[in-house]
Amino acid sequence: MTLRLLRAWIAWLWSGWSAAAGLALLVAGWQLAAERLGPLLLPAPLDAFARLYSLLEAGVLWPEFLVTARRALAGFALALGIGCAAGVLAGISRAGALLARPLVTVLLGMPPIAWLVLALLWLGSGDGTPVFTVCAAALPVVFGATLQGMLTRDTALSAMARAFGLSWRPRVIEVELPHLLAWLFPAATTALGTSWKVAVMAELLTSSDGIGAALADARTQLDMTTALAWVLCVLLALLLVEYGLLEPVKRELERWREVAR
Amino acid sequence: MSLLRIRGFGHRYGARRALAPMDLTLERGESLAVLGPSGCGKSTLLQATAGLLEIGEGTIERGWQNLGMVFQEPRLLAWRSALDNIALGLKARGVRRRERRAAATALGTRLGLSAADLALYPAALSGGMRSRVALARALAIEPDLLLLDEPFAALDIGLRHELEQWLLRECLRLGCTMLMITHSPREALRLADRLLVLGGQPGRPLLALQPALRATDRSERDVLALETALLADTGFRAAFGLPPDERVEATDRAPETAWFQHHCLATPAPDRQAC
Amino acid sequence: MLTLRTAYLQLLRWPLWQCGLRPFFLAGAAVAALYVPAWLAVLGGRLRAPAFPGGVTAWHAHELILGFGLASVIGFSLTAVPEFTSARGFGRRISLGLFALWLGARAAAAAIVLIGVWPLALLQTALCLWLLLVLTRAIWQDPARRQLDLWAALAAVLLAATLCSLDLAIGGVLFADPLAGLRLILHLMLPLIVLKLARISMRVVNRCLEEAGAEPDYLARPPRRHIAALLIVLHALAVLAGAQGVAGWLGLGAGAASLGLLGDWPHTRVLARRWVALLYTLPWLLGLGYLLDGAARLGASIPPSAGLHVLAVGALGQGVFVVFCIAGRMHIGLSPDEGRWLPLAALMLLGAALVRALAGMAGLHALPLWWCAGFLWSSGFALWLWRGGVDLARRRGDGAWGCVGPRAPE
Repeated sequence: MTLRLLRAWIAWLWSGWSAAAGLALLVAGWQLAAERLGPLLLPAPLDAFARLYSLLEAGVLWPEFLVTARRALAGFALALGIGCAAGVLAGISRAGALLARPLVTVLLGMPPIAWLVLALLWLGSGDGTPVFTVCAAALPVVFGATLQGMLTRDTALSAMARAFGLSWRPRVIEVELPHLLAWLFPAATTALGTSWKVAVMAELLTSSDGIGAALADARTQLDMTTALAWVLCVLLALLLVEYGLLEPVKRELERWREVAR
Repeated sequence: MSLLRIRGFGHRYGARRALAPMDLTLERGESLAVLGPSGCGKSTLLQATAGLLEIGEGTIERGWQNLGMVFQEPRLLAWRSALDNIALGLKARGVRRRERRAAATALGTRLGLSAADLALYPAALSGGMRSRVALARALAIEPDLLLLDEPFAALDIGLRHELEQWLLRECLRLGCTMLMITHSPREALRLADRLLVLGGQPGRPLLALQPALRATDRSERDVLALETALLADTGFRAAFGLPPDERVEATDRAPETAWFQHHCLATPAPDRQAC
Repeated sequence: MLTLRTAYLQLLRWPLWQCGLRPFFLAGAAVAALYVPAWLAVLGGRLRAPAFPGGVTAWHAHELILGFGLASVIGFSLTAVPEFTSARGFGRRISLGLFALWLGARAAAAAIVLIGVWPLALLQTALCLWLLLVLTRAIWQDPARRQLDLWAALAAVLLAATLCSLDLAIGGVLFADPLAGLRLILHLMLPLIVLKLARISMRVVNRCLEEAGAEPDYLARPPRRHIAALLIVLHALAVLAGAQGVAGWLGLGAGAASLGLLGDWPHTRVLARRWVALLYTLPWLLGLGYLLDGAARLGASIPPSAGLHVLAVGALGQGVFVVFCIAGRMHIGLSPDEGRWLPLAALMLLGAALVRALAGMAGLHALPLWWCAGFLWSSGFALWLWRGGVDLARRRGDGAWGCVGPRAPE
């Protein structure tokens, strides 16, 4: 089992070469634009990478990165917990679902920046504001997906499980949970990406530390290279988590969808 | 005591009555097919027996320990391999993983599923293989009552025949009681010792038929002859809304009494003439 | 007149012309075996440098790319295009005519000091345009037009070769440096390897899987090779435009996409089989070559010619060798060669590519490594000429004619 998983993971990593080719194409476009616009407006990719490395060397990168990661992940975890619980509750009762539908629409439509203003008033400029904003931005995605998963449960399968004498616990594990996960997982991936973006945005506007704050510093000094280095840092972290962790897990979880080779 | 005793059970969906109150008794080792047109309440009867329906009127006495059920569609868990799907009922009964996998493999092999097939997920299986898995899942728990809801309706005649024969053999081996619903007279005559015909709106029992031979003793010729006789029966034709067959002369109907023990249970709707 | 005509008819009877690949594969291998030692002798001062526009390096690149590379491409396309499009073969007269033009071009290149550049340019232009005409007709006559990608790749190579040849004569209007044009031709030949590899490798690998008792489920997925071909072409254009940075990133991308081709391969023991192993090295060489090229352009301390030579000596050389050994056997009615010399020759080519890449890196002396690489590469092809090439000039043993494969054993 472990060996098979390891092999599948390596095969997956190897298939990342094609993704790397796509990224190289993107960077080549960046290079072309940089050569046209000049270093003041758009520094060349190599310069941004070099700046990123020098930030790492100087020991500036990790602390700021960890601060942002802490906020993003805390907000994401909160959103995941609350969203799942609320989604399941709303899905169990039809009344709850009816009540929650417009709520999801409103929450999804609410711009994160509006939450930020409110949070700044309520929670000040510590960790609370970014965590709250991240949570508020990611919550409706998780909640909506969970609710949708609950509403599309296959009653025929539940009936089958009951007929075969499965009590509620194995019935939840065998029948309901896999169905719910199939809905929740893609939503959680989206929510994680959102969490990163919103955390950086919240820091940019409210905090004195974290990647967002570093970006704000770079902007005030008109240091495009450093700003791009920080952007690269966020993107690299996102790519690493997405392609190194989430995507292989998703492939493993959804292996059953594959039709015969 | 009887394995299944239904007393005065009837059912309404909202304001619409689907099934008029009816009685039904099933003895251990017997097999009964409930036959009827679509919408006559036969699925309701089966679901109530399986405990999937809240019972409003009447009582259902359940004398069995183990219930196996095969549905009209396979109803497999898409995220479990064929093997784990077969072993699902065993898992619910607390059988250890190794033992239940061994039992499921043995049963699957008897049904013509290779080890490679058993490792596949349902999405990768053909329709016929999915039906086999569903059938194996019901029999893996060695049920004393097996409920069948038109299980082979979507299969081609070759596959249907193969699975029917297999089912008869396994049921004989396990000594299980069988209650099936179907709208195919031939399937009913192949698998069931006796037949109950439902009809009308709301559904009610119209005919009870007891062929002379048990299902396991019938040859293919017997089944075909029985089907011909059944299709000539006025009461049966009325239950399915078939027009009376003018070609059937009174003289041709003579053998029918030799084939069936024939009980007329109720008068169908007034516009239909029967019994 | 009469004697000339008899001589021509006599010549046409040679078994050499019955299949398009025969003369060109032989000629390609001969160039590989002779011109590289000649180039090394010129470098070492043992041979007088031949006169050539753009200097002696341009001569070296020109003769290997348009001598060795183009001969292999012509031989391959003359056989593969009728096979892939299920059309009739091209016939002896076309083989003979094209070969005469190619041979004339080699002679003209050697005699530039006497006759000038124009004869060379005109001969090569005629060669490329005639071939393009012949191939286009065959591919477009196929009602399904299945081989349009092959056509596009071949047309790009032939048009680039035409432009490059004419530019030599008119004195660098298009390409400031003849080497730029030659590099373009080389880079445009590599998508051919990517496209052709898929077809040959699926057949070979699945047959080997079947023989090993496994499921023949290797499928070279089109998107991967399309991405690789696209990035290789974009890189070639960026190199041509002189955009160093952009070409660097595109080189890295082309390398990654080439290595991505390996994702479809079955990573089991079947890779140890000789034909599978031979084909398996090609994406590696392409990937390595482009990664080195891209890294050098982005400022890594790698000699700029290292990547280019991994591509030319390694990917193109090994790719041509594989075609020589597989198509060059099958289309003369013989089963694949199982002799021990073959893996040896392949290893020599592989070694040549790696040694050539090392030259100039990490403070190693370039000249001895060049000598070593050149010796290995020429010897590899000389070995092929000796053990396999001679069969191309002989009659078929099975009594058949043309390019048909060996009869299946009864």
